[in-house]
Amino acid sequence: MLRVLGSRALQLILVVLGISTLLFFLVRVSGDPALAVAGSEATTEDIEIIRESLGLNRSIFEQYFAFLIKLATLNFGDSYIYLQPSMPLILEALPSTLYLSFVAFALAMLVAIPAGIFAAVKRRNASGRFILSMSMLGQSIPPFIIGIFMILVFSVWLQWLPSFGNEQPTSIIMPAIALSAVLMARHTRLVRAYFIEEMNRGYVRTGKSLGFNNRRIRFKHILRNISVPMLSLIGIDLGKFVGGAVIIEAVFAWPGIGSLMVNAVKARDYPMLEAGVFTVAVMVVLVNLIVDLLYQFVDPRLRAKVN
Amino acid sequence: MNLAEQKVDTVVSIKNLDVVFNTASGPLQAIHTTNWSVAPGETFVILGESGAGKSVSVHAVSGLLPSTARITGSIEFEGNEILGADQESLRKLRAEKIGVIFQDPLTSLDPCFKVGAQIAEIFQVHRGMSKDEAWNQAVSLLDSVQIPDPERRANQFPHQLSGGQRQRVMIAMAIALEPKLLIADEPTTALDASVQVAVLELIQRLRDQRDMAVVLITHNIGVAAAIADRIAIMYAGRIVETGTAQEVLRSPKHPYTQALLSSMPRIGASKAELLTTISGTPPSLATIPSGCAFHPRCTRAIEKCKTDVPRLEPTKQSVNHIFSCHNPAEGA
Amino acid sequence: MSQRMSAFSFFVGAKSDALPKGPGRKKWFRQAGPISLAFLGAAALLSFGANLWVPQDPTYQDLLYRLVPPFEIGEGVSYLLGTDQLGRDVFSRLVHGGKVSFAVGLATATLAMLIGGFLGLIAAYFRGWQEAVILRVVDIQTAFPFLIVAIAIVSIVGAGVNTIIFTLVIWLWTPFARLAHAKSLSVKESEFYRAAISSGRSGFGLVFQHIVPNITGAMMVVWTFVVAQTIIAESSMSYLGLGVPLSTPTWGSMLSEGRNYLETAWWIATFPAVAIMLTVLCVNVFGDWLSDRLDPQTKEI
Repeated sequence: MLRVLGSRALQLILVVLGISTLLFFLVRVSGDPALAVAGSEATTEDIEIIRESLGLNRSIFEQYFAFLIKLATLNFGDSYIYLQPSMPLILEALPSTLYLSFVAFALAMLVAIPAGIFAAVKRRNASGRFILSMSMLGQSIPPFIIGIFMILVFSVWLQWLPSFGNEQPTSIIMPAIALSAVLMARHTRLVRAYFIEEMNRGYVRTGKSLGFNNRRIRFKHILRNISVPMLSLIGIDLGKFVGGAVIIEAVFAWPGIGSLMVNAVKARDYPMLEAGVFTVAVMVVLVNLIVDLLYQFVDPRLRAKVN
Repeated sequence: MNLAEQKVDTVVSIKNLDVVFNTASGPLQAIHTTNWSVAPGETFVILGESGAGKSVSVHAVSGLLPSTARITGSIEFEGNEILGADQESLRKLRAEKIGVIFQDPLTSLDPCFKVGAQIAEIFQVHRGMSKDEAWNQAVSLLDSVQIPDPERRANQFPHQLSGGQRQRVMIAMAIALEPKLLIADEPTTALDASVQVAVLELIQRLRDQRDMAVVLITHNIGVAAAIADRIAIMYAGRIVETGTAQEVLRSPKHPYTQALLSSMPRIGASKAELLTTISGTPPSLATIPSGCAFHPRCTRAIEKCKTDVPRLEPTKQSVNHIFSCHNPAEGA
Repeated sequence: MSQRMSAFSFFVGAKSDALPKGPGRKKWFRQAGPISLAFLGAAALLSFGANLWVPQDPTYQDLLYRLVPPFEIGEGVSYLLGTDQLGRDVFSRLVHGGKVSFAVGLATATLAMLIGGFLGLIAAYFRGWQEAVILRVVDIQTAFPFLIVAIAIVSIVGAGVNTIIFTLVIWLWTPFARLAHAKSLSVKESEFYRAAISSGRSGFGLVFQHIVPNITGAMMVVWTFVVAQTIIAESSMSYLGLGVPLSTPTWGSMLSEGRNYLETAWWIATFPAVAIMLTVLCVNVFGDWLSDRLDPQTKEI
């Protein structure tokens, strides 16, 4: 267990360092950040002053060393737009993004698991096929389009729900549904496919021969067994989820790190961008670490190997 | 011996059993008018190549055939007809009175639960025991199937046990509720030759201790010889010869049985070895030949074999030794 | 079966038994693949030939006719799908916008297939460190959110069609690489490959003669699903303003403009949304149909 933890922690550092370094050099190669900060009306002297204040007049290695120190101290410098340290701004917006992601993820799973099981058990019936078709349709609709249609129906037409921001308790409903839709559809199909696969396993036949009822076989044994492959998929999906959250935040003007980062790109606000990418990288690796640890716990075959 | 007495003597008795699978490409008949029965304390072995319908006929009894199977005829369990009985009471009857062992003990056990918990679950569900009670019962059951250090083994997962130990766990689960009938579907095929003997001995010992009827399916003549009281030879969905182990193995009458036996019977003989002595391959369900299904591979085939299905008839020596052949060798 | 699923099955989101097969399947459903393809072909042709037939210049602004609802005949001018906030014809913009979606979709998927397929073959051919490096990169990329990467790249390189294609290719080569790797390994196990080796053949001639033909079917299936993914990704980037410059109409940027007028002019956002949905759905249906024919097992990898 400790070895897994150690290797994962090392991987975390490597991935974060690698991504940050890549970002650092690409930014420096691609153009002069000082120009972006100064804007089009700045004089040459203005730009020179800005350049000095950002440390851009030093050699690239000095700059990289300074960048590594920034990385280690989590201080990426002041945001060009907000003129405040960028990392605290990101951290301030992070709970909002995590809240949206968590609600959407929970919603997706709460629907996908029962729907997938139902579609598997009733796979020869119209109801099972209907769920399958719906999930295929759901996978073909990009989440931001679902968001826009929901705004049309529930905000503009029915006027039930707020169309942007996070001021009211109900504000979470539409962004969470829009964000969860693709995952919900995908995992419904996956749960169904895994479930059907497991229904043909030997232990299911054994359970039948022992006179266990269907409910026991399905919900104690099969569900426990599909949790193993499901978990590893969830690990991959949670990482992607952050990406999906970015665009949903944009559609619903949700005050999270996605909105901050999209604005940062448009304004070439590199400190903000670096802090954002760094945070996302850490989150993705952390989520994978947690999933890996859970995986050891869920799959007895792995647990035995580690202990 | 009158009829009533005979019923008590029989655990399960199937009569004129037909099993047809409804498939996408039409119905496939897996079993044709098959009859057999088995008495308490008796081991009945069904021997045949894969695809001969061995498993289908016994799983018609155990209730493990897929829902596409249409079963007709009669299956009496302890004298009561169970074909067409209501599902719930049938499920209870099968749980209590029929134990099943499968070929591959690794896939037949749930990989996610400790073996002790899997056995204990049976007692919790069917005997209403508490978790601790059931666990203790499971440990003592593991002991009775001769698993050393049962306390420790109960706490392990299936993948941590050896193949032979897993099969012992399967046997423990099958006999947990003290069934009247033990169905063993190729119980030793996935095991090493040395372990095969021990598992067969265990099955025999448990049969004697508990007076169970055992129906064992195998393609391995060595296994059949080692354990059988009575043997039925199946080919293409029909029993072609049946009798006591001695009758069938010492003086086989059907050309197919004779061909099977002329291969060297020994424990651990592979399927490929078996087949080398008979030309051709066994037919698939979709392409069963007309008449006697064995005629294309039979050295003694005559015209009649191609058109008429031979009837099962007793030999001159014994009314219990029955076989079906139009043109048996001399002395039959 | 390996416990961890491959990027591919993750990507396609489908496994065996995904759709009811055989006689139970409705007749029209079996024709859905060709129908979808015909629809896509027609839509792509109409888009690429937009200059020849659409009623209006997609960038022409007529502030007198701002926010005209669809299906209304104006004085001397008719706007089939209405106009946007600058008085531009939504229908003309919609047809022109398809160009970017189709071009990016086809170019990205093809490039990604060539690059990913090549790297996958290398990994399977050499095994060794090449395989370790390539598979490791695939693993890391699979877990990382695409849009964040896109944001980083666009912020550095600047927006444009080439940037979008570049970004998407360096993202979407991974399913091809993983598939090519897995399939080539199984080909290498096969009898005829061993026979070819024992007859003294070696090198890339062997790869091209024996491995490549055996993986193209599965690669084509993935290709179609990647086209669908690309169209979604491109429209997402355009929506965020990370796509092509705003002077070029795209479905994503039309949606993004329409988002601010949902209360007053539903049609600006709705029509491009429907266009994206229909296109992606058709590509997916076609891909599913194709996979049933070319490569029934791929879904199970």
